[in-house]
Amino acid sequence: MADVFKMPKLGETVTTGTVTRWLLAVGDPVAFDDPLLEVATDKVDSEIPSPYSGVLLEIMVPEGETVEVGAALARIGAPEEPGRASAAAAAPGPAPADAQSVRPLPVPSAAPAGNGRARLSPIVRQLAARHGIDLAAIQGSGATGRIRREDVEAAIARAAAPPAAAPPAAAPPAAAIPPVPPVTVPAPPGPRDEAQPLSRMRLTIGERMVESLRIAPHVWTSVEVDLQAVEEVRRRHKERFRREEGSSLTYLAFVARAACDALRAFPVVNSSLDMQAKTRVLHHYVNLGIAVDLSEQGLVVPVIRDADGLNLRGLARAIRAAADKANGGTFTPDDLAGSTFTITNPGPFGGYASAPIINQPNSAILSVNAVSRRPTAVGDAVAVHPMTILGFSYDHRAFDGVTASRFLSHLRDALQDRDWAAELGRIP
Amino acid sequence: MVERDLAVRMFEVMALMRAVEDRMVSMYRQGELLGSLYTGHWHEAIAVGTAAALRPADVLAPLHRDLGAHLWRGLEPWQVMASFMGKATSPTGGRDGTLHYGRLDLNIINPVSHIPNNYPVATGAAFALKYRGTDGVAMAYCGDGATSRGDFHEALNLAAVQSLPCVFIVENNQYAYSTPLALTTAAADFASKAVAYGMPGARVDGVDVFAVHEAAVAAVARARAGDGPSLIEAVTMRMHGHAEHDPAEYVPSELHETWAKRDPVEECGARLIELGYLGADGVAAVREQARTIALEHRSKALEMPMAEPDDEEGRVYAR
Amino acid sequence: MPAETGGVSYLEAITEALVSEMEADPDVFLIGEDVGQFGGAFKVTRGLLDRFGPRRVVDSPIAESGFTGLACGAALMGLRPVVEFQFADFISCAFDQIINNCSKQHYRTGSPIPVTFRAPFGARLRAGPTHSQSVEAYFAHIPGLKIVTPATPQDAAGLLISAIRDNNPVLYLESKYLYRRIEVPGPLSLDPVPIGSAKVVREGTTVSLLTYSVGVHQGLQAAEQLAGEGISVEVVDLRTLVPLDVVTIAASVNKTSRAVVLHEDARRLGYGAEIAATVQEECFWRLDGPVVRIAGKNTPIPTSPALEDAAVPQLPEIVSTLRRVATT
Repeated sequence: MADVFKMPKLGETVTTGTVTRWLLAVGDPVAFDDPLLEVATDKVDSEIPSPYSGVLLEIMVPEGETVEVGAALARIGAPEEPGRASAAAAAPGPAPADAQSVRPLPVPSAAPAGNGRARLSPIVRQLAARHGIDLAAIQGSGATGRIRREDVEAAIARAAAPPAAAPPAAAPPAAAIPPVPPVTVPAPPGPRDEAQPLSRMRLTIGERMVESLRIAPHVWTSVEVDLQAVEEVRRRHKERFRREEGSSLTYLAFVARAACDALRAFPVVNSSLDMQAKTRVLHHYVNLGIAVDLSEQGLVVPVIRDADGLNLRGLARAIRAAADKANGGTFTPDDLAGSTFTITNPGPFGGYASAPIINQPNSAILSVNAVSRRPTAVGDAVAVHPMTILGFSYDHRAFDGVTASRFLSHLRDALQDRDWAAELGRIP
Repeated sequence: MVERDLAVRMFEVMALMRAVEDRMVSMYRQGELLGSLYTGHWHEAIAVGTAAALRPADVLAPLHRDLGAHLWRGLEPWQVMASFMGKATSPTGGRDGTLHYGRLDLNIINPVSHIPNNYPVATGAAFALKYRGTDGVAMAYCGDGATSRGDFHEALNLAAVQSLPCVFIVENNQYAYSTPLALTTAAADFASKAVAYGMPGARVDGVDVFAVHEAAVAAVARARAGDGPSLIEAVTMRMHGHAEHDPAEYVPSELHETWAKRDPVEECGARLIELGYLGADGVAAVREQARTIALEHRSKALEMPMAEPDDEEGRVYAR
Repeated sequence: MPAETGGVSYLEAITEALVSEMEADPDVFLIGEDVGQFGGAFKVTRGLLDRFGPRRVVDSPIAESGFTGLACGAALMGLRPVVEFQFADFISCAFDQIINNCSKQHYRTGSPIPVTFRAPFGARLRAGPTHSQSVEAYFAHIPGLKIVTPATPQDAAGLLISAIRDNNPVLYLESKYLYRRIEVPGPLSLDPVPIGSAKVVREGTTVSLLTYSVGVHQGLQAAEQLAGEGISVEVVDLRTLVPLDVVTIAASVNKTSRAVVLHEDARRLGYGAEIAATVQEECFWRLDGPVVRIAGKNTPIPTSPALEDAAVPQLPEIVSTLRRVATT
């Protein structure tokens, strides 16, 4: 009896994986620990060693396809008889091959009873992956129990409807939203167009952004901050900080520090919604996500765990480390999971203000924009200070405008009034 | 008798055909051509004598041994060489090659390799000339071998029953690749086959350009007058192989030896001297000039670029 | 000529289109066997000789290769021949001229050959193996030709007009089975129907039926029947086989996730093979099952009724196949 290798769980919060590359072909011998395939989850690639020895008898999921954790990926075992082996030796097919039927004619009714569930068509897989439908929970209406497109569409519709008799399929908390309408096929590229395949990262980012905007009513607000006090401390401590830490003391570190305090003062901003359970989960810690741009090819959001336990220096170091990991591609799925609040920092690249998209399952996201010297009122006089706009997108299901404004005011006041020099240590 | 200017011009074009083909034989052996080389040695009188009977508005549907007809019309020797070399500047831009170098702007239909496909196509050209109310004529050429295929029969029959202004030339050079006449037809000759279609047929000495010309003029006049098609069988000998790669060892050497003495270009030159149209020096000069032109065109063709793919799928259909 | 009152049949639509184009363009002429005095074996060209004269309506001897070559030569000179093959079966006599002279001409020389080849094709008339053939598969393979297969009187007229006006050789396959079987209320529109455009003749959501000619009518019948079972069949009339309207086909199959191809021609390398390959290339990731072909048997078309009926797709098989694909 052959062993079935299933999609591993590559990260605590991961529910699906994409097969990016098979490193062996059907018919190849496989030893325990041999690199078998490459899998991508979110934005992390992992090379998977085989837990079994034998011959790679069958590949059930082709490259490019995304399946649930636990889905069958391959069969490994003793070499099979010629009749069966020839069916298995076919190039990676879309559905798990019914090893008994060598003839290619489409006669599903001739498939042995119960094998119908094994035939997952491309559209069924795609819809299930996109909507997080657990195919194991679906009763197929096709011959011998095959899951048809309509069965998945019905499951999607059920998951969107309020829970009735049947338990809803495993869907993300935002289950109150109707299913995604069918994708329209754009016109093929013409002679002046250049088609570039979208990277996995691009696709993942796209899906997440669409999902976030779909489920959360985004409202944007902002606050203007006078960074004069921060700037003075930065100026005085810049050189020494650079010498000691090997990196510069950025505005972002100050904002992050102030934000952690503000989040403790306004716990609803640091919460996650569970619309299914109709609850809001307050997190009594701050896992701070920092969005890092990867050379304009995509974004990752590494998470600084327990950021509220770090002082300014500690946060600056943690931010630096997170950015280094992101740019070096050395982060793991767990590095990207578990944020309770996110800061994005397009500021260094210019931009007066920005309205970012919430990083689910957070309830809000803060943007740190460009700092520029502008006139501002100091008392009754006009001075030129380094000023900036902090942008704030929040989920209006979680809290309202007054809370948002108060949170931002707290943040602004912290930035403008706190004794930052004391945070860094007085220079004798 | 043909008047002087016409006779001299015919001689010049025959000499040019010979010089160009001799030059291309050398080029073939020097590896400058892409594939096979088909020549019309000993067909010069037929090619030129017939073409000289036509007007520019008349349509020609030649085959591979009729270079002289193309040259008479204004096709340049380098274009022929370019066609055999796969150059971008060939009449088909390199898309077809070897002998497929017609130019519709000169009213010459570019042939395909299936012979005599050009025969029915020529009837169509004749049909169009008549349809439009002109007195234009279409002239089609094929060899003894091609007369065996159905298209020969269908074209002659159609042309005759529709009374189309066609002249059909059968160049009987006695061999179809390795198939001698005796294995091609049991008929005594090809001219007689015309009777079966209800059209006149004539058999002429294919080496005598003046005889060929006279027969062609008569047939063309007939067609132009609306009296329908004719068949002319011009007899010669295929002095080279089917193509230059073919040593033609199946041809009895006596046949070659006999016909070697009947070089149409030399005979024309001799005739011109006899008629007082040119002196011996004049004749020699024409031949020398022809060889010079052939050399010049070779240099020109050699420098031309090879064909490169250029929106190939886009040019399958006409707009 | 079309009836003064009542409908316009498929056959009459062809005649109307021919007359209209011959009146509009003096370079259009007809050539074929029995097309003049006799009005054509199926009477498509009845009355045209009287109307246009023997210069423009040419009775040819039995010489398919000859008159096809003639048409090519005339077209090279700028005329617009409409060639009639009495039965599509006889087009094989002209294979050489079509393949070698006609189809390759523009590519080789840049000179267009604006010829239209009309050929009544298809079975179901008890006419036997050499009077019932479908020939589209051979010619679809050849670069340089276009192939149209109208299923309705309106498209029969519109596509013939487009074919005649097209500067390329167009093989116009008219269904002799449909000649007098279908009629639409007049008057007929004589607007050209673009070559290369398929048409969704019945919208549906469960399965796409991709078909042409007689198959369109069978498909519509099957769809009507299956609608009663809750199966919604989208019928796509391809109308042109070459060039194939991949955009319309892909949009339909991407919508329904199921594709069934139907044609009367024999299954093996019938044109359905090209359609099926194209569908799987374009729509694979949205398919709920394999692309299925319903086609004639791999035999010549027999004469005797029960034999012929068993050789070509019939309604029950079409219905059951669509049902199986939709529900399995």
